[in-house]
Amino acid sequence: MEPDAALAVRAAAGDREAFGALVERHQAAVRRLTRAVTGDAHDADDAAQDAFLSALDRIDTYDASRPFGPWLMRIAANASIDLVRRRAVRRADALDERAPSRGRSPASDAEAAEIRAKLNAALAQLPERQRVAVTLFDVEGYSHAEIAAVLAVPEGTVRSDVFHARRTLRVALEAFGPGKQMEER
Amino acid sequence: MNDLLKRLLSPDDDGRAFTDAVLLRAAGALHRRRAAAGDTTRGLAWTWLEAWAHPWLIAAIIILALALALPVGRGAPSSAPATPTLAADLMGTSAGTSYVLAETLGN
Repeated sequence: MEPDAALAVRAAAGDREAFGALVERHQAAVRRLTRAVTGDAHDADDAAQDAFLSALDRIDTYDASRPFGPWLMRIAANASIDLVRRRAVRRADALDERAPSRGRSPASDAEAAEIRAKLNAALAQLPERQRVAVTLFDVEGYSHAEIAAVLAVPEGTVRSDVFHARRTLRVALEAFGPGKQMEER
Repeated sequence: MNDLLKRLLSPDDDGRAFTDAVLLRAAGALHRRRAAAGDTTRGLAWTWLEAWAHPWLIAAIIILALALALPVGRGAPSSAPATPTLAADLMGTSAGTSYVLAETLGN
């Protein structure tokens, strides 16, 4: 698999295939982050697209000796925060309901939907930076230091953001029992 | 809960449509980048030509001009009087005239 840095160099020269490979490789993580910030699937995809286009615009500034992911995530975080601020009116229950999983009882589907709704509502309560921090930490597996680099804030701030965000999410899910508690890292 | 959060945030699709949409929106920027990369290559070639070939080209032209000028200078008698040359011209003219006359008379 061609490294991100090599693809970025080719993309900087206008190579469509290389840029497409970068998008394909990172789209899921970027879309998860933008969804955490925007709270809406469509807004998330708009922000994610903006992020990739913005990344292409400034790809000459990417330092190929450093990981591509955090550099891209910084752009994605800014793009999604910008979009949220542009569209001031947000829906608290924005996430569309997923198709019910096969083989599940209606009761468990209903409970899963309720958990998602609670979690989504809890995410929506968090400040934007905390949403980014907890998503990068708990979903994408970034370290505090990497998140600090992404958000351009001190590492201690990231630790605090992750701590407060997890506490808020944990409280939101307390009703669903200890099995749903957030795993410690 | 990490898994739950991941499931909550993960897109429902495989990302192909998203990738296509990004590539569609990026088509203009990618085209401009390709064009700029081509211009850069041409620019580099011209810079290289200016830096290396241009002085040599001027030098080559000067040397060629000197080489063409020198045989003319060697071949021409430097201290010959102007009269013989004039005489030779006259002779040439008269020879030509004689030839024309001979041809005319002959015909």
